[in-house]
Amino acid sequence: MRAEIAKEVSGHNPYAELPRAKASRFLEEMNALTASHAERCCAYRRILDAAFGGSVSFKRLSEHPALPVRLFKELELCSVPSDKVIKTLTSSGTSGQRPSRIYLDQETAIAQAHALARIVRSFVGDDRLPLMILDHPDVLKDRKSFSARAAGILGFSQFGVDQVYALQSGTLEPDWNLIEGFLLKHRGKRILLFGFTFILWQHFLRAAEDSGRSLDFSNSILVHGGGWKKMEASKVSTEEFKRRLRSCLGIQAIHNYYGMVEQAGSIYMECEEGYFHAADYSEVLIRNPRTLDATDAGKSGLIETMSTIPHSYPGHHLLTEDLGVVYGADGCCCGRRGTFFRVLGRLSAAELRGCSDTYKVPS
Amino acid sequence: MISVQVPSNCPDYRVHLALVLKSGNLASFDPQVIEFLDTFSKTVLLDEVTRQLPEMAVVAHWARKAHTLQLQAAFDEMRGDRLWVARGVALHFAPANVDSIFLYSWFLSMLAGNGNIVRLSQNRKEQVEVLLRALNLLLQQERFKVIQERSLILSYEHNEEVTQTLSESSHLRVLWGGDESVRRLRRVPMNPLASEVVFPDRFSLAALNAAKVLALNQDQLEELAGRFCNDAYWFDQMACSSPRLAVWTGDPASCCSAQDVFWAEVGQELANRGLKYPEVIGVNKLVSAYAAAGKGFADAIRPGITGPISRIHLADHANAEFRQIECGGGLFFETEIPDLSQLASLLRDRDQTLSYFGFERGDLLSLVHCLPTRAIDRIVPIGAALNFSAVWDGYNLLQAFTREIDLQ
Repeated sequence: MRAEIAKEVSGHNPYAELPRAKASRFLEEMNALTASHAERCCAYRRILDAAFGGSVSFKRLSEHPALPVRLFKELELCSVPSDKVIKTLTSSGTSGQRPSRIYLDQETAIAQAHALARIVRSFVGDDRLPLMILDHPDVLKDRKSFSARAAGILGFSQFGVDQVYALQSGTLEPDWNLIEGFLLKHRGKRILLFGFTFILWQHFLRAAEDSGRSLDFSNSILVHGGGWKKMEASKVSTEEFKRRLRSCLGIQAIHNYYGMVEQAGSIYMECEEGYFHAADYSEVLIRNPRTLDATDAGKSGLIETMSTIPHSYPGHHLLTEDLGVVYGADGCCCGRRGTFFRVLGRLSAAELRGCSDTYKVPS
Repeated sequence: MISVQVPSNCPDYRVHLALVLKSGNLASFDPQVIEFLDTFSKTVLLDEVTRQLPEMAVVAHWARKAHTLQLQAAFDEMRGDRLWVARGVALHFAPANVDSIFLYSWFLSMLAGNGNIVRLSQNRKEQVEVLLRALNLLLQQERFKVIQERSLILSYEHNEEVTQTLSESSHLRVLWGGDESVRRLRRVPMNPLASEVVFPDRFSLAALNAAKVLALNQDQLEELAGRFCNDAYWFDQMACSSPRLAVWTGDPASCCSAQDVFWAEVGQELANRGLKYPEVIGVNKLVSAYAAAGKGFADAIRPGITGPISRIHLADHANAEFRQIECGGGLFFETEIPDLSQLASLLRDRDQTLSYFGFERGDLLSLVHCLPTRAIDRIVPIGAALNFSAVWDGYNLLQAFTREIDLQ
């Protein structure tokens, strides 16, 4: 069955499947992954036993069990023997927290790279473009344990040739000579720019604005991701971010992506209309944060992400702490199929601390 | 960076420390101390801001003269003809999470006749600042000079040197805080003559007799649910004495029915009180519940886990580690046993308060006689778990804060 599925999704366009066909295929794949992880991951099995009466097969995606993303900080969730783990991805833990640890075997790592390639190529084309990474090379220092940033850079490296890093290690200041040389060398060619949203905002775009240099990136395509969490603090809206990228650097094609280290590979790319799209590897659901009931299109709630990629850890269905709205499963003006949605921000953190007076129950 | 909070006009803590050290002891329950606490109580209760804070209102109530005189009577009765005098200077490390604790610790030690140094957390809420301003105003009054000379409240980032200086100067060290801070502070040596009273992390539980719960009429059930809600939800279940495990006694069928009626009533009570946690608390509960299941502590997670009452059934072979799941906001482990005599085997050293419903004193006494090593310091009816008492964590604090002179 797996080979058949693989054939079905191996067409060129990862946004072509009809919603009804996708719904049944996807549920089947999710159930298959659940059964397989339940057999191989003891902690996952115990969760299914305690919360779902041990069931591994579900009739609807909305009934299918999701693990809260933060659980990967609390539990070792791995479905393969440790000698099969070839790479461990880690998420940045906020102070005092353990980072998430995501264990990848060969099969999952290849599936991630394959999914990422199909998704990204459908936006940037099949040719390898000159690639400028809007970051510094030291992010990649540790080759065994990868941060989300390192994994992203490494994943995107496959789409480029003549790869350069725009920022200097240590200072994180742009290397203007290198950047201008790169633009000169590839004048007239399409260039791929890749970076993490906050890094490129803080250390590239703002530095470029301050420098007063005239840089022409009008022929490039920018793909960026990593989340808006830090951007919220700097009070920049998506629109302003894009406007300033256009006016300062002349970049026209700008695609944010939504993704997480817990489901690397099957990212959600932002289309020309400003919506994130689920490709055929992934699906999203919105849940009411209080009841966890699935909500209708147009209503905001917690984003649940599903991915057919994770085989070495039970991360195929996750409840994030991001808030979003799904607009539909088909019919986006950009022409792509696949559930399209927006991300609104993060569920605000709150701390219960004993005699906290903030959320006191009146006595 | 050392910041002296009380007295407010002190530029260098060492200057005031020297004054505290040379000022000498007071008699226990010195009338000036009782007067000071009573004035403090009135200040808090008359202030528009502080009296709105339930926690501060409770401390203020505790500090009023009528109550300290009761404490004095109990103290006098307990010591009889024995000579109990102050130990000298007490050094208190206040916990970061429960602001009112430093007041109880300081006040009781003051009543015992000691001079006091209090180290406050760097991470204080606005209400503590309000309180410190009020305390400073009071201590500027001439009539409270004896207290001012014997009190130093300061705050500093972890600094072994300062902790060492203060520890060397004191005769008694009182540590409130998590296990980690207690471990860290205990590495700093004390004056060889000093003694130490320690309040580390604890765990608390409730025991309910299923048959007795089922026998309640509606009014009684509502009352029980209300009392339980006070214990569990007043401090968002983060107080060390708030129950985090509910143990039911009775046959399986009675336990099951009793759980149904009890939790339904607790839910009703919370709805009446308008309890609504921020949405992220629901996600925290889901994470805690799944972590508990994944680690093998739980064999059933009840539906509605993200709501105000989150029930997790303790797995048969759960070890003591489930106690480390500190979520708060109403996350309860549950288990059933045939009768109270089986409770002892579930208990661990870390367990502090057992709040109960539906047991006779005799049953509880039998339990006390078979408690494992260090387990359980308080056994109180459901509804009284949070009441601060001068007997805490196994110490009679006034006794621990004084010493006895043997006069023959």
